[in-house]
Amino acid sequence: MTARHVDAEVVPYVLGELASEDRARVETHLAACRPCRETAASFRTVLTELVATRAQPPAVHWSRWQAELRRKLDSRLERSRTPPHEREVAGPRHARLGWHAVPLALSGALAAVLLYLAVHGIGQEPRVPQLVGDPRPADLTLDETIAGRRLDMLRHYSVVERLDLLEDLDVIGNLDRLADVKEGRASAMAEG
Amino acid sequence: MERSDEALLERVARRDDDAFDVLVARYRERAHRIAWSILRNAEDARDLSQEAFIRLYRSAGSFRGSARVSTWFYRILVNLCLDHRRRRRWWDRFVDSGSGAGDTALLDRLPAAGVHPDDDLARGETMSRVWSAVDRLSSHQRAAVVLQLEGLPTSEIAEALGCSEATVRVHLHRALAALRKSLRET
Ligand SMILES: [Zn+2]
Repeated sequence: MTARHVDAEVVPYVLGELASEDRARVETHLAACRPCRETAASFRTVLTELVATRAQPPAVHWSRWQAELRRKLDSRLERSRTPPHEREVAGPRHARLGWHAVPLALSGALAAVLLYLAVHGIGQEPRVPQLVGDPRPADLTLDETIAGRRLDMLRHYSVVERLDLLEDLDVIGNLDRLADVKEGRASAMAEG
Repeated sequence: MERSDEALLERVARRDDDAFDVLVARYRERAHRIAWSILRNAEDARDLSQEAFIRLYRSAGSFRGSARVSTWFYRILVNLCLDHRRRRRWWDRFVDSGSGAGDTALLDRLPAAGVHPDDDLARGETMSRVWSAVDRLSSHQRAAVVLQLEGLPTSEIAEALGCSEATVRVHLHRALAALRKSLRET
């Protein structure tokens, strides 16, 4: 009874989501097919590990959290009641971006292209990196070479400076983080 | 007084703040946990879980009842988290890649709860390994795993992710296969 493997049914089987008839059929197959049996057993082990080692998020002060939510909501509602020319800059970052979002997204994409060209050079490296807003799953791992070359790019301060000119708030905002993370490199970069 | 999610949402659509507070109290912990599990960043998890409730409030009137309120809300939340993750990913890779700090940062982001100081080292290592591997899954695989661990059935995960149940099973299959590999590595 190993003619047809049960790959597509291993997950629902392990999760206990199969109807009894299908479950019986899968079990019959598993009894006769070692690869499928091992897959099912290993998936069960992984799920058990995930549950056993599952971490809880950092503790939250819920009344404070809810008060903050209320403040954000009120400010957003207030904003939507206020004519655009009378609005002050307020509320969460998403809301503040407003109509700036489109040019920002474009400048973000342009910045990404510039950085891509800076890293890979034109006509080299057929692999396309994950760009801003690119919905492709990107579970590719970076090899050492490319990682090293990306770091090299940090030394080209003109590229970073260009980002600043493009006023991409996301990128600029993250430059602070870059400085935190790479204190030494960041100061060298600023001098360079 | 009717306290079902649907009835509460109907009242929220009429701008009933008390009903909104009840819904928030009902789902805030789970929403925060899901956001945190997808994003692994406390500040982002707080902002985006709050943002999801703001969107729930503002779009309560457009809820059509074809899904459960909870599933509809998870879809709002997960979309926000995946969008956020997508936008950040490019920059994070740029900053972390090759710095040697990436793995440390990841370990820092892994919270300690669930592994107590007196737990054995092996358990901690398994945790780091398997959850580091979760971090490397694609966004949809990761979201599927997170929602599965929240106890959502595949049908609801599919609605939350806006895809078919078959696609969710593929996401989970690939995710579990990748995680299995991480567990086998020593
Ligand atoms: Zn088989």
